[in-house]
Amino acid sequence: MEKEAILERFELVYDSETYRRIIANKEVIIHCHHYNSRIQNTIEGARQINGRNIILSSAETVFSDYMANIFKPEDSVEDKWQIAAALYAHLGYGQLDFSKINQGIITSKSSHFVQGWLTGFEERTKPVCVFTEGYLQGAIHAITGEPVHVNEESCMINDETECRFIVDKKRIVPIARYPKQKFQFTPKTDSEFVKSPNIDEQKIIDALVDMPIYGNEKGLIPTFGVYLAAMPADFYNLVCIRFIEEMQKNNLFYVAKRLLMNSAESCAMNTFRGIVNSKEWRSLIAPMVKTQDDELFGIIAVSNALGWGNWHVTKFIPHELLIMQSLNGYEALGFLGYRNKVDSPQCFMLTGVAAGIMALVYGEGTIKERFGIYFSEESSCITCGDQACVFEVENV
Amino acid sequence: MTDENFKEYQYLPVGVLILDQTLNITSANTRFCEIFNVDHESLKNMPLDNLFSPKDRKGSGNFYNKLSQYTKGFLDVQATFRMNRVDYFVRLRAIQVDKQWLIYVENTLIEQDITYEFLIAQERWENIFKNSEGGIVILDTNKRILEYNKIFFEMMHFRSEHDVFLSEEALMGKNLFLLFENREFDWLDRAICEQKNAHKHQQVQKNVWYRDRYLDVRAGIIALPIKGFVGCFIIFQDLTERKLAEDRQSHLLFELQHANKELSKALETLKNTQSQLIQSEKMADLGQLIAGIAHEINTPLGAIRSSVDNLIELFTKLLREFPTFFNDIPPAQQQDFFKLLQEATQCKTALNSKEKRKFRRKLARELSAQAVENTDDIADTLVDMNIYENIEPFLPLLKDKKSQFIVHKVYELASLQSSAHTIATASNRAAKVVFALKSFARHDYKGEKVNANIIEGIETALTLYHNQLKRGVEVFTQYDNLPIIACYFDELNQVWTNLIHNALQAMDNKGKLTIRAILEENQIVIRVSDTGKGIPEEIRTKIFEPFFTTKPVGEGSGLGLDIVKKIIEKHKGTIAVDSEVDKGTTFTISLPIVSI
Repeated sequence: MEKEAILERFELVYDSETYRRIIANKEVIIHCHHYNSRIQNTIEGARQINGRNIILSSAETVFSDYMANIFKPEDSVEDKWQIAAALYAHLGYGQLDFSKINQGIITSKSSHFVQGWLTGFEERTKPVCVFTEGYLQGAIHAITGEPVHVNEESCMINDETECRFIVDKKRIVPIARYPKQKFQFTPKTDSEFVKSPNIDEQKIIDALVDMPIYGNEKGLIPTFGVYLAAMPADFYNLVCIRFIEEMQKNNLFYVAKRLLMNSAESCAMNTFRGIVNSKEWRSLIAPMVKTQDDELFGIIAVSNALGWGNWHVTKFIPHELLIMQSLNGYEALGFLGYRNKVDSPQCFMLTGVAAGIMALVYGEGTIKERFGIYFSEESSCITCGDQACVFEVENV
Repeated sequence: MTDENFKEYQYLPVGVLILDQTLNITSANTRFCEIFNVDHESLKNMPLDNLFSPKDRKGSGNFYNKLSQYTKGFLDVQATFRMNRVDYFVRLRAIQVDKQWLIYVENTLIEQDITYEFLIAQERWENIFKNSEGGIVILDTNKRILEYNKIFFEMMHFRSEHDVFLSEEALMGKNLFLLFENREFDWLDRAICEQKNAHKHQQVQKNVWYRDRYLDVRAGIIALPIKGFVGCFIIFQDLTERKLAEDRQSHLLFELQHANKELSKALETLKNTQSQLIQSEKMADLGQLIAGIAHEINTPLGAIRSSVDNLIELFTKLLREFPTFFNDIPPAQQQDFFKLLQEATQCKTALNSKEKRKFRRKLARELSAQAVENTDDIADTLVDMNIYENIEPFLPLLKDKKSQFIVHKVYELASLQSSAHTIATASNRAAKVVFALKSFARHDYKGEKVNANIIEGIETALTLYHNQLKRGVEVFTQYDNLPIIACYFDELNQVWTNLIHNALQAMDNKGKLTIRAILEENQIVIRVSDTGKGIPEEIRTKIFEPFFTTKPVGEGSGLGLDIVKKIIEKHKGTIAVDSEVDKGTTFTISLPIVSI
């Protein structure tokens, strides 16, 4: 199958009304290796639950479904392997080689998750490509209809030349299914937002939408000083929801909530520090930045272009206070797609990010030193029936 | 945990909290309540999260992080509790017992124990570490990064092969020297190894360029009394700005020296150029002077040449014709002939054309009345010989039929004398000019002051300008009896010629030139005045500036008066100008009376 024909299926559609990035009819969110590694570290690291399985099975169900929708009836099995590898690369996860699939072996010579961990975290010896295992299980199921286990036998995290995945066909348990109900939500339009006179948010969004944010020849997106990846919003929703639920079973709901928020806070600082030091920022956004506050508004514009939340500032006191509204954030809407209304807010990523960006712009010292200098709280959430999610950040 | 078990903790000297699996407080011991001044009942069922101070998100975050990854043993963290609006810095040691959590809580600020001392020491160290202006990194025994500060992180900005920044966590535990892409610090690696094994540890120091930064790198071994070598520290001081400033300074110094050399060269060139210009100004003046002098010499030379030609021609003719002529004259008339010749050769005042015409007409009438033939021609010739009255003695001769021929011969013989006179006069004139020239440049040929009379110099200049002056300039001079003064005579002559030259130009060679040299207040004051067009007030102050000229481009260098001023100043004198447009200009020069 021609590469161009495959890539046509992955063409980006950006919905400027809702700030959504759509690839092959699936909403994708651009996050970087900091968030992906951190969320994996948080979920996997919780000893009370099987975090690894949450990541793996969430990836499996999302990509089984995703790929099934991408495939066309006329696609041969060979075409489908090709598409599975191409999608993996296009979304920035790395390279996959299915040439030995008949022997039950899949290899990868480039990985967002390995690179992400190596550049984002302390040393690790345990194979890191848990997401890829789930992706492969989902892809194999979408292509062959068989539920399989995929196990990363060796990983580049341990200085191997490639990651090597072994397919185990002896799986009895059917593929995981997490049905998502269609949920209609109309964002409110009557809000008034605080804007920086210097930051042209639409220009930033337009530029980022036009930027070729897809995998290079190695299937990586090293852009903005970070490794970016386009991840289905469903995946993030599922791993977070399931993590919270699993922790809740162990009576650790607020611990889980804190962990997710703290991950997002650290992620935001690392991510945006990389972004504001990147050549892309210097050429596109830095010329607009006239004051320290402009940097904050520039960061918010970038996060909107990456599909994080359609969020905007409603009140702002430099150094002290930031109140933001997210009109249709993927966390809230995704939660309501998978679950019902709840009593407490569920947008942990945006809650942490809100504190993180304030700490990055107005804090001092290392990320470790900046962490926790702002307190962030989601005071209203669409998941609780509110019209918008509201994040209030205060200097502690 | 049963109530029985809890009794064991009730009276322990440290605070103890018992939490259920949801991390809600089920019990607190007496010591805890004492330390934090709370009552036991108010704590019951309170989530532990409520005890964390909102100011210490780091501590609570650390606690939850460790809790989520807890497997066994004690979980040990520092955090801040807030109770009754008071913050307490506490050490929490938590252990899971069955499904409950047992937490030992020490208020480190109250206890004043070794933990307190340790924490304070740590805080002091962190403060120094954090606020250091240098980038500091601490390595373990295997050169793996244990700790570093913000400056180190920002200075190094380690990146992946794809130009992605390595995070702060990513650096932890990594071999520092393997992070440098080009192994720039292998020398430091080796030096640390050497120091590690050395008997006495010494600091390693070197200044190196790393990427675009110039760093002062210092490293030392960390050796503890019991454990011995536990690692090392490296301090990177960014000297880039200083280095660049030094380089800039060196460069500037070099450029300054270079510029100085260039300036010296330029100054030298300027001096040479100025000398050349002065020289050319002198030459220009001299050129004009020479043209006048040439004319002055040429005129007498022309007269001499013409007279000599005349003499040669007459002599040749007389030598050829005179014997025959003399034989043809009767003896009686021979005497008259010599009388007439004597009269013709007597020195008389020269007549102008008008007078000549007048006397010619009168003489012609007288001769005609005496019945002399060829009266007009004879009258013409006689007047040319200045014989126009008392002609009676010559009438017998003039009435002779050969009178016309005889008179012409007398005229020719008289011409010999007048030509000789002309030669004598012209020679004298030429000699005078040559004398003036000699006077003009005879005095300070060694460039030293000589005793001289100023008036002599002024007169010499006037002589040299005689040719130009005589055409339409009236010259008035008034000299006091001036003393001899020590001066650069030649240079002063240049002053006079320059001022006379300027005056002539200002007057278009027609007008009145007045030169006064007088004694005033023990100074010699020379005023050179002309009746020329004057100097407009707006440029009066500029005329002494070098290169200022009102003359058309190419005609004047603008150095004339500048040179004049410099020469006067060289004599410790002054020069001033007084001018009125369309009336004239006076230059006043004052010279001190000094002698060698």
